[in-house]
Amino acid sequence: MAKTLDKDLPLKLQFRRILFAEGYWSPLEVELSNYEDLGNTLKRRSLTDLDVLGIKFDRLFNRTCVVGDCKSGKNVSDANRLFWLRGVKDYFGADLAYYLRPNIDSHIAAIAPKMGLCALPAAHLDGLELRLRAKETGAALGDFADFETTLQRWGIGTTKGVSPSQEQLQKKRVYSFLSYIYWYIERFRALMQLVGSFESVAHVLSPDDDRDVLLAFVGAERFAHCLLEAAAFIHSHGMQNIPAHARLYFYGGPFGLREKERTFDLIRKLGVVNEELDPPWLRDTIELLGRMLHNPNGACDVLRYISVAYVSCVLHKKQEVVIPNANGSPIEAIVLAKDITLQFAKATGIRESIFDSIRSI
Amino acid sequence: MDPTLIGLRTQDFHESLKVVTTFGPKEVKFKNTLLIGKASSLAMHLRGLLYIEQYEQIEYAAASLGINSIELPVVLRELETIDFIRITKSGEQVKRIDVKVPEFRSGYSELGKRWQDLRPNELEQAGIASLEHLHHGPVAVPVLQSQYSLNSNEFAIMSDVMMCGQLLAIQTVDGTPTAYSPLAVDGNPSAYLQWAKRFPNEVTAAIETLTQSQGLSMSDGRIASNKSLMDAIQTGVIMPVTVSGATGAQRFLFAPRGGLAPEEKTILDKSRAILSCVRYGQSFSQGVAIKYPRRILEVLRDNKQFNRGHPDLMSQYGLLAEKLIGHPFEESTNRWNFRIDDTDENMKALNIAIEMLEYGTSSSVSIDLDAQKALLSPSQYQGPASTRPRMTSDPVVSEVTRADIIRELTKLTRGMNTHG
Repeated sequence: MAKTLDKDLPLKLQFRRILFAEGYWSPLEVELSNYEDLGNTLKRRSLTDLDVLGIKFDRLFNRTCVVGDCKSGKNVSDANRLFWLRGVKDYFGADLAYYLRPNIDSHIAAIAPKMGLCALPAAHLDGLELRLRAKETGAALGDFADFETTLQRWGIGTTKGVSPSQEQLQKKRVYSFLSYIYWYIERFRALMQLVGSFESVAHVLSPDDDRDVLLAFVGAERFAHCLLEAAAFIHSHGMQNIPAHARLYFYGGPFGLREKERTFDLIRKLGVVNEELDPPWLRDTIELLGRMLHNPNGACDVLRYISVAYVSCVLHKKQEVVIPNANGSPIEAIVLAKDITLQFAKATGIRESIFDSIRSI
Repeated sequence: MDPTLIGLRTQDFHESLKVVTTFGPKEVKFKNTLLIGKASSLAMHLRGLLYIEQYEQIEYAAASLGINSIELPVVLRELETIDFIRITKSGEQVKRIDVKVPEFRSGYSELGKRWQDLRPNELEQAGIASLEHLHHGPVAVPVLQSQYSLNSNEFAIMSDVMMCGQLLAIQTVDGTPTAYSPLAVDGNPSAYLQWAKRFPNEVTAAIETLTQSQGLSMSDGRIASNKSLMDAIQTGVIMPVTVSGATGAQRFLFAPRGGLAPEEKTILDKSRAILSCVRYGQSFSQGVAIKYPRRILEVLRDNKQFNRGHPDLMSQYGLLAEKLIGHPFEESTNRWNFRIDDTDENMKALNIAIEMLEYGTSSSVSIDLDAQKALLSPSQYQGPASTRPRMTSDPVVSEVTRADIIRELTKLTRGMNTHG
């Protein structure tokens, strides 16, 4: 089903380009939700969606998170919107929040900083885009048509009145995970759940289906995001024993790890299965994490490179990935982005050929 | 057999036979072993790198390791099969080699499994198994032969190839021809063989104890109560390293390791000295004992000195100054620190010490500094000063092996070879 493009889109894309030029990755489709335990099921309640989310890691693996609220309509109470944005910023744990409007009244411009926000009018945004050469850099993200194509490919693509197939329903759970659950759960849980989620649909994802290819790339981006979050934890705990710190992170700290190890001991004693706690793919994923930690110049930028790889190699059928004015080490970033993508395929059981478009970058 | 040990032994085969000129039995009968050995050797040199952009760089490095440019694509294909590298091509040209050699595990397990997948012939299987056997002590030749289903011709060919590479040597002990591996002997092989004869049942366990805990103190209960080890020390089979620190002199023991070039032997001596000093700090320090020995060695490698000095440090690390590894310096009044001289050899010695501490054995002993430089250098040719040529030796083979070569050549000449 074709999606309707909203009237705030030009403003959103402009802000996205500016963030991109500043090294931020902007994930698709982010919605804040709350989950209620209803006994035998969890009920999702939608809270709000984020117009633009930007996440950046520096070379010390410190994370900076920016949210942007874009409103181009007339019947909007700017003050109300600022209070709402402040709440979103706190709820999501963002470091910065921007309120973007075609025009900003002087009293709104004055109260925004008091609330820890930044209100920017469109004219200021134009100047910023020029000074930061964001159009040039942001070109790597593709144009309006590319964004539109990407949005069209996002989702299971049902036709009105036709019931979704079993496969589509399976995939729907993955879309739901990426859009809602991924942003709701604790960060350390995300990697295991992401892999588990894609494992369940690996057999139905086809390299010949444009929607599936996009879904796989978004999965790879999130895989990279999980690894960068883990890298931030390990970096802050010291680099002397990366595998041990990685396991501590993925299992939720020393108590979480101990509990899970004991549970597995008990399971083994029952003699039903002889499984190890670590899934088989974790060993190579930790090796990859080690390479990221040892090559921070490239690792800090892998998220942007995976996004650009999709636009450049899948949408434009090119065999190169270039980000104009990129800092750091582009080759390191490309090598690691490719490593991450292929390790994601290996961990989830997705056919590697779904990433064939980036084979020669 | 454990795939990790297979991987290690294939590397031994390649390292030892690379200085022997090409001859039939080596190339024909041991081709899978040599291929995986070459792959092992190259993989260990690639470890820690993220990518190589210039193909020539890897060609230079491989050449230093005894892998010529014709063989290199086949070796790289093996590494790609086990997912240690990824070759990115632009058309037919290699654009970049991405490196994924594991850092948190040895990687020999994958190499060993690959060797098994290649279905090595019986001679190769016996060669690898017997080399592993001889790493744990010498054995009478008839006993060794009886352990593998090789006929006497095949056994002779295997022995000849292994003896050419000094993987195996035979000496007569009290009238019995006894096989041992020079790779498992530190010093005088005669003393080693006599020791093995005196303690035929204890040798394997004794070597295992030292391998499991490299740098074991002589005051440790496992040594003091072990007659065979005490005998090995008294007869010079195992040579302890002495550290004179604040609480007196202590001696530390290491599993024997032979088959090294003179420059490799010097580096191994340095590694043992470094590890002995750290072991001293673990068990005999006057102040706070070292809790994380690996971390201490990593700090020394990465920062070239310890984070904080202490009063005992001067005497405890004095041995390292004698071995030209570095020098103690006074950080403040009566507080000493130690600064390591930042040379390639010293850094290699530290890496070996870390591996001995972690795994009991070290693949880094065979790391070729010229090859490593070629991989890290933007201009590939190192100049005559640092590129060390090695003389290749001609194989000395038995009559049986010679007859086998001639037989094969005769068949070929007559057109009798079925190529089956």
